[in-house]
Amino acid sequence: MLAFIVKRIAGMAILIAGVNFLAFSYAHYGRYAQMENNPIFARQEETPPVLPFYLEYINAFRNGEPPPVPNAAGMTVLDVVDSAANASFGLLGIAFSASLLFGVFLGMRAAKTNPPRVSRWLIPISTMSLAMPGFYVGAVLITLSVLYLFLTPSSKGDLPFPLGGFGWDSHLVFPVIALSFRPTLQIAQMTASLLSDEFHKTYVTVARGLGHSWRLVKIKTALRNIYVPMFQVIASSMSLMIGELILVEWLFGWPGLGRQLALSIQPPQTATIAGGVLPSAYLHAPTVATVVTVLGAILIISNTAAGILTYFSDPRLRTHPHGGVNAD
Amino acid sequence: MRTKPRLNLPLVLGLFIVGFSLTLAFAGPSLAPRNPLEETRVMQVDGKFVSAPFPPFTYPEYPLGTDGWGRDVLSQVLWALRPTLILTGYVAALRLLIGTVIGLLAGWNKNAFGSFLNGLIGAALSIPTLLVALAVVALTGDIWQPWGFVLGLSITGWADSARLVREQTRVAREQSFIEASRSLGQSNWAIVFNHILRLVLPYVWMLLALEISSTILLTAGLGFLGYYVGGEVWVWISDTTATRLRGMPELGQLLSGVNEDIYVSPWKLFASGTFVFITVLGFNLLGEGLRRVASSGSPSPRFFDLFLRLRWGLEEWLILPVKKSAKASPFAFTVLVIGLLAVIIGIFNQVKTLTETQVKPAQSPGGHLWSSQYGSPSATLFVNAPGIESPKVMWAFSEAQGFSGGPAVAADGSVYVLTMNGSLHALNPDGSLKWTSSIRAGGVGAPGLDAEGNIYVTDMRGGLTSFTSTGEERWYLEIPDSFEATSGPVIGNNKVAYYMVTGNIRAASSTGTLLWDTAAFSRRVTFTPILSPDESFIFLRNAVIDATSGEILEFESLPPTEQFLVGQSGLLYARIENKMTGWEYIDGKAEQRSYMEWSRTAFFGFPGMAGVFVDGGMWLHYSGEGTEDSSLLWLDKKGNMLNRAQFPYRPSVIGGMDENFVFYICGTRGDHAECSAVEKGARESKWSLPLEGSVGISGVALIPGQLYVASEEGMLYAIGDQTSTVMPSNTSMQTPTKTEIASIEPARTAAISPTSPSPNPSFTQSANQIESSIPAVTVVPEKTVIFDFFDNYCNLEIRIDGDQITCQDNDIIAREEIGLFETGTFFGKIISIRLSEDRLISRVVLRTSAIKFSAYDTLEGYAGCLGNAHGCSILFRIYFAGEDNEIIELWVIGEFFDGRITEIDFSLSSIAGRTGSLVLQMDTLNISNENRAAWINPRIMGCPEPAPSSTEVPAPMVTEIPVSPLAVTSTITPVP
Repeated sequence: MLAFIVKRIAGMAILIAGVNFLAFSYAHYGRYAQMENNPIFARQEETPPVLPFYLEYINAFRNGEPPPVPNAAGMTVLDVVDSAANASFGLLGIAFSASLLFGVFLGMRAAKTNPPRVSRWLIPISTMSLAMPGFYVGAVLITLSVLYLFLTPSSKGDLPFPLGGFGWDSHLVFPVIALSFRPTLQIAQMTASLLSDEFHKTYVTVARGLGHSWRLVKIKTALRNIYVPMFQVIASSMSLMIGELILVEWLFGWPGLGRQLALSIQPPQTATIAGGVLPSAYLHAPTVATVVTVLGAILIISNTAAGILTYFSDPRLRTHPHGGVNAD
Repeated sequence: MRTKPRLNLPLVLGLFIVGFSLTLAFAGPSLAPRNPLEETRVMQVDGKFVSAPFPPFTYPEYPLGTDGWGRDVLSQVLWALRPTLILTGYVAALRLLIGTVIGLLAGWNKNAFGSFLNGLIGAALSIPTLLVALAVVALTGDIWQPWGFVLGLSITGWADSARLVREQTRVAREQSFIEASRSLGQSNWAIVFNHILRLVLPYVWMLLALEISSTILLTAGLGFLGYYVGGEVWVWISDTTATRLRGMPELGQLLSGVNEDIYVSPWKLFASGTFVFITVLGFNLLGEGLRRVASSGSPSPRFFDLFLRLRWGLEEWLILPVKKSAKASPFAFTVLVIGLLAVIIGIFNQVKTLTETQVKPAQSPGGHLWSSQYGSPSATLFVNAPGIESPKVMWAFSEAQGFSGGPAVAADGSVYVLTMNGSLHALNPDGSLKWTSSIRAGGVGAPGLDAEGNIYVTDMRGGLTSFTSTGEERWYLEIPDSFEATSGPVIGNNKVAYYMVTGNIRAASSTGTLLWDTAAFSRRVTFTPILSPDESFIFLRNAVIDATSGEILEFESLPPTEQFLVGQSGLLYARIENKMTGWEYIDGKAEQRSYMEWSRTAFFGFPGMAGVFVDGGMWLHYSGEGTEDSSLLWLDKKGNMLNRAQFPYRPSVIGGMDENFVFYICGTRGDHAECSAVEKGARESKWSLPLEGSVGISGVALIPGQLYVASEEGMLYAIGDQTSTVMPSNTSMQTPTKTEIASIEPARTAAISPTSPSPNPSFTQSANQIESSIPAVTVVPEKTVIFDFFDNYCNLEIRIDGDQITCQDNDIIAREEIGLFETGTFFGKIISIRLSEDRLISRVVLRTSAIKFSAYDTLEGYAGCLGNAHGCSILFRIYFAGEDNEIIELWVIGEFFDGRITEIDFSLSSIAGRTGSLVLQMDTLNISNENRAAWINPRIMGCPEPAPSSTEVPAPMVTEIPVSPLAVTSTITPVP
């Protein structure tokens, strides 16, 4: 058991290091590629190798002097990532908790028992939600807010919820809704269909035969047996949320890791000949590498945690020689 | 008994929505009400100006509103679906292929390789596809458009398909029939392909639908972050600043730029996001429906039956017999296969040849070799004949007065050329003079030829004269009080002659009747009209005229155009800045057929002449009118610059291109003229030939094997190949020098035979009467400054929002003696108006006192916005206010880019003879904080009333022209 955990953690560390190097290389080469192909900033210098720059970046952290971020009033990469991570973790935590709670709740409500099936109201909603990316949900919310302003002149420009900005208050509402909309319904759909599948099984019939109520069967008996696939679903929901985090933070101006990454990778919109160079913050390799590493770490940790939880939840996996989530 | 199957609602709904999306994708561009890139920044609604963005459901012209650039959202979305679905189709197919292969291998193999693939699938599933796609697209997107996108979106997105295929493979692997196949000796590959794959195939359609939906979402996400198919377009908004814009619409593109629009015009994001949502929903439903079909236990629906039947038929009637025959006689089989391949390739090539658009050389009427200034009426400059490999001047014809334009060459090789003092010369192909005729005033432009070989020439009185091919005047069309002609005539197969007179275009019939006279421009223009191939339109640079009625036509579906032209395939084109739209006129509407955009950084400025090849590539000619040398640029059909050839000519003229697309260009090189030939797409010239004795080029004509060059110094050169023998044998083989030419005074053998009877009685004159009726040529003196706004600033009436102010007492209007523009250009005098938050200025008026205007007056200067902020929204107007309070609009422009300056140069002949004030007015359309609107060097140029100075035209002698060229006096200076 210990060996399994250690193996997983070691794998995690290697993966995170790999992500860090890959992200740094992407930003390094991407910047030069953009310079070569951009008519405004075109330069004809050769692309230098990434390794010396990467080592300089690593050494800077080792020496306790993280590299500065361009145009950030002297803040270092660590300062920027630290403040962005706080904002993102808070948003992700609230969105994830909300989607987990609501998702499981809705899923349990939608899992009908007699006969065992998924309620009809959930299927179209979850089908539609799969087609609605987070930024579209955000666009709908913003459009409705703008419409609200038009229809209620007495509001005098005051909206019930802000359209953008940062704050641990009503500023959270729209970003959390946009971020958690799809994962909530995905979790609900999976919970409902897994539960309704479990209701067909013999042990449920036995439990009912022993006089257990459906409520007890749902919560205490059947739900336990869907933990394993649910962990996978939850991990994939987290993956989905990380992917959508960039777009949602960008849309609502939430100063998190996603927005920081979007600021670093979004191509410049204007250029002046007087400058003649790409903006220094664009594809700034240390910033991109650090931000992507943190985001990647969240993903890898959540997948690893799902794998470990699955391992401990399913005794059949503990007895399998290969173990792990992806075991045969 | 088969039970009635339950309605598969997701399948039905999915098919409906997907069908609708595909229909929109297919027909969207046709359904789009407008050009998606057409910008309408300002509209006048009920007398008020409103600026973009326009909200949805407010203006009927824009049902879904516009973006900040005034581009219709509905049209953009309808155009965007097609490229998006095509791209996602490619990506989904690639993902499915990769996922199926990896899934099959991962599910089948239980060894280390299988574990590795399982790990790969797990890793790919856990990495957000968006991040990987971003990385790949950022690195490769611009270089490998659009394949960089295909690569980026496929690199990890295959994992979902791989997982499902793997699970199906694992289930199938344990089946007993697989074990049976193995024990019968089938190899692993055979088992996988023959058995496992068949079990997986029913899921393929479902997987494809789901892949398409996830790819669309991913594309939308990338577009949201600023990475989209079609790439970026950099548009210069000032001399030093460029902005990155989206070009051809694509759904991902429409979602980008959200920060600019989301709070101002959120409907754009909402509309494009809704289309994404509907399309993805359709494919998701379709996928779910197909999953139900594939995994249901009920008998297969009919279309799977059909599929299986087709497959059986194919195997039974084709595959098995072929296998048998291949085994029976391998040699015969091989020959058969090779033969079949040869036939297929041959058919393909034939179809390709048939379907390729051939060059449609624009036809000159009567098969003439060069019938007007630009050769054919459509001005494609293409001559479907060999050109010149080793040039030499075959002969040269000299004339004391300069030529007013290029030569015209008839079908029989006769060359017609017109001088600035009104002599029309006809030459034989060997350069000998056939005849000379005179017209009533100085010549303008090149002669035009009709189908019957009659010659038409315009003059400085605005008249049009027609001659027979033997030099007899047929008629003379003169409009009283007409201004000077500003181009030679162009004659179509309908024998109607079209020509420019200052800002008007006129059409005259072959019998000398004026058909119509349209005021196309408010200023003097010197364009030679271009006819569309079907002769239904006339293109005057940026205006389209109906050739029958003379009506100025507007095409709503075309963007505002700077230049209309005819491509070599016969397709019509419209150029605005660095964008070219191909179009056809169908059922009263201009239907767009193609679009191309190129980088302005390739060469700053816009071309004089341009053309489009059959393959959609373009050529652009920069004539070197300013401070830059001449250039020829070649672009491919995507707008990428292939090459640029520079010539040390300032200015230059394109003489045409031959069947091998060798371009011939002639121009002024320092103190002499020169011609060069350059192959299409080459950087260096093939050859260059100096033309001594000339400096300025009036016009060039390319005919098979010969290039005629007419100069402003009165020389006409015939350049041919060194191997050709066109000239007479008793000729000296030297290019005449200027001194030699000076000693060879052409004997004037102007021959005007009695005019043929003409239906118009005013033309029946005897030769003697013609002699006395030729008027003296009026010489117009050089223009001077009549009124300078800057110098006379304090004499102007100055009003700011209606309040009159003195010239000293204001901090809004400033005068700057020397204005330094960002590029280092110096303007002499700037009247700048400071726009600031402190005072919301809306109108500034500068008005002169009463001036009497003459026909030769012009207004010159510049107008625009100075400063470095973005957001100048100014309407500049110039109008005439008569003494009776009549207002005549002369010039108006809306400026929205800071740092962009527009030249003002137009004739005031429309108000000639009237007395009134000239008003410069500036209106702000929006709040333009910290910007400066500017009138730069505005001045009225003119001349005093022209005093007729008598420059007598030599009296024509009524003599017969000798037939034998040897009897002609020495106007020929033949060359080897």
